[in-house]
Amino acid sequence: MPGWPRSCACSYEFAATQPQAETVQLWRHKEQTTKNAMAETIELAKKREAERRLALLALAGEQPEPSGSCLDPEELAALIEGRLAPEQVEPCLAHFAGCEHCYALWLQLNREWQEQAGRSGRNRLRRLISRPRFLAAAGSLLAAAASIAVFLNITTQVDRQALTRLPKQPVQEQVLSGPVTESSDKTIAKQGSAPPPPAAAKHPSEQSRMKEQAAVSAPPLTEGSKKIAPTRTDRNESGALDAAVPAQPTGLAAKQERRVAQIPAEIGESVPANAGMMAEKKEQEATSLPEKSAATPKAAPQAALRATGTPAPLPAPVVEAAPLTLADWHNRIRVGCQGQPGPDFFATLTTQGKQLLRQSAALHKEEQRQIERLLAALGNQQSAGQQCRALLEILGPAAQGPKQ
Amino acid sequence: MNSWREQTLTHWEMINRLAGRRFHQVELAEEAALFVMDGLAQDDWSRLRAFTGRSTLATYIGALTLRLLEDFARARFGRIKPPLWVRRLGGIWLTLFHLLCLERFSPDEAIALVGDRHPGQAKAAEEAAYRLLGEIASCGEHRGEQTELIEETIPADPVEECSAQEHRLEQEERHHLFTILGRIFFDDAASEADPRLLERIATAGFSLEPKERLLLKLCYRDGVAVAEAGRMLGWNRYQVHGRLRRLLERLRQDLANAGLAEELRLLL
Repeated sequence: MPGWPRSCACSYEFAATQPQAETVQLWRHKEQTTKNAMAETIELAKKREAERRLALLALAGEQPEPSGSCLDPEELAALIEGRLAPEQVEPCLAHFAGCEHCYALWLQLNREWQEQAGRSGRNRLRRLISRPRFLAAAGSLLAAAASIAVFLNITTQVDRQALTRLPKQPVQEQVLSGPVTESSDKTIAKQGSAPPPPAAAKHPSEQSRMKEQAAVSAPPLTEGSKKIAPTRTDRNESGALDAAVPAQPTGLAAKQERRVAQIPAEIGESVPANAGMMAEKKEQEATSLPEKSAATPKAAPQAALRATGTPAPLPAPVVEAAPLTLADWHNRIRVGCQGQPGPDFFATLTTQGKQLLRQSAALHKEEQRQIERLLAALGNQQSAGQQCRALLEILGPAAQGPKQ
Repeated sequence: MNSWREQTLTHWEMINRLAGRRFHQVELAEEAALFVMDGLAQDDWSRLRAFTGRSTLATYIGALTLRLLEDFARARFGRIKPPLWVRRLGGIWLTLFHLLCLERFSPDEAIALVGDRHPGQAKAAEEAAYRLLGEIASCGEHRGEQTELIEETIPADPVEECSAQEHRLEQEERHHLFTILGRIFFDDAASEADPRLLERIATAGFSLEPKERLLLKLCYRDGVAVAEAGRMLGWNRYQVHGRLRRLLERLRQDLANAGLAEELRLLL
């Protein structure tokens, strides 16, 4: 640059050479790396060539005589397919070492067999499967599938546990919205503007306690179970009145929920109309075992009494198979006499009283006498009201209110 | 009988394929395939009736076909015994010798055929073909003749009670063998490769087991992958690599024990 001032030329050169030096350095490094790689490759190739020469010299040195006779075609085919026993294979290979003709046939047939095996889908699949890479991938997939299966199984169990608890709310809904029996009407009328039953008020807290227990015992919910959980929570938070308008569950969970909700309705009106926690537990038992609840109709009314303090409608009189206690019998008389009992009720009471008398070993004399007096009152041909009055008199003043 | 015929016809494609691979020319391959069918049908399918079920029928028919194709080649082109050095080299050398000198294929055809039979050996086949043509001046002169000429002129393998003349011929043949081997193996250092030295190396007391010999043949002569060679010999891929490494180490050790370590280092 003859025409340029010296300082300009210097600065230009400096600006141009700084990145160039880096590029050159990088390029030299790359060149060196490439050279090293090439040298390694050449070295490896030389080593292999030396090995090949050594091997060929060793082979050229001596040519052994073929041992035994040439293989028959079937033996050759069986050898190719690996169907010969090890002790049969050794002589064949020893023969190949000395017989170039058989060796060439062996090579050609082996190649043909390999091609055929590659062509057939099953063998291709077998070869694919036998690859270590495929095995590793398949193992990982299986492990992942097993993990998912275990996870889904756990969450399904959680869903089922949650679903079995669902009927407590639908039962309440059905009873509240469905037809009410005469006695329950009376009960409601008696209560009048009384405050809501304490058990019902306790219900959300009880529910949350149960939820916490479930959360402790179960792993976190999946999406599927979460779909159900908010619905249930909404209902609980909104209380019993909101529950009269049930949310619409969807899918399998909804079907199960509906099915579970139908069961109490199928059992009949023996299920109490309250939704207290203890009563709910009894209802669950009644739901899961309808036969049992039918056999022991006292359980539901007692639970209802404990939960709400109001008597539940009496179930149809059934001759009990379970042993009856004196207190139960008294309770039945008191509860029954609060309504309008029919002749069947008195007949049942008579039968039960006689049954209790038969078990007189467990009774005091006073109790026996009381039973006899009650039976005598039951035997009088009077109207239902008179009979009830007589019975309650015999039972005493405690019979005016429900005995705990 | 009909069933054997039908079963053979189901493998007609394979027979045709093997014939085409053996003889590149279409007419020749078709003729050979028909020869194979005739051979199989001979004596009321006696070859197939001899099948006892030790292998699959397809592989058995494949083995029969390969043998019958060789029979066809012999019937068509005659027999010839290759020179000792070709026999010693074996593999593609032997195949090329038959293709070039007996069946008189052109070098290109012969190279293509060898490439078909031994995949991955095309370049080696090309070198070997021209080397063969250079070393054997009379290659391809006796096509279609039932000749015993070369077989007679080349002495048979050493017999214990051979005459002195035969022994001398044998020595000459061995010398010739190692001269050619020197040219083939050490092309770049041919002037330094003394045939006697090579003979000393080759006869340095290598004692190869049949399986070891086959392993060397498969891996270094016929270009078979080491893992595949191991499978053919009944070893897994780890066993075969280990055995090959130990075998080569043992060969080097044998040469060192014979006092040829320095020569080996210079040559190899």
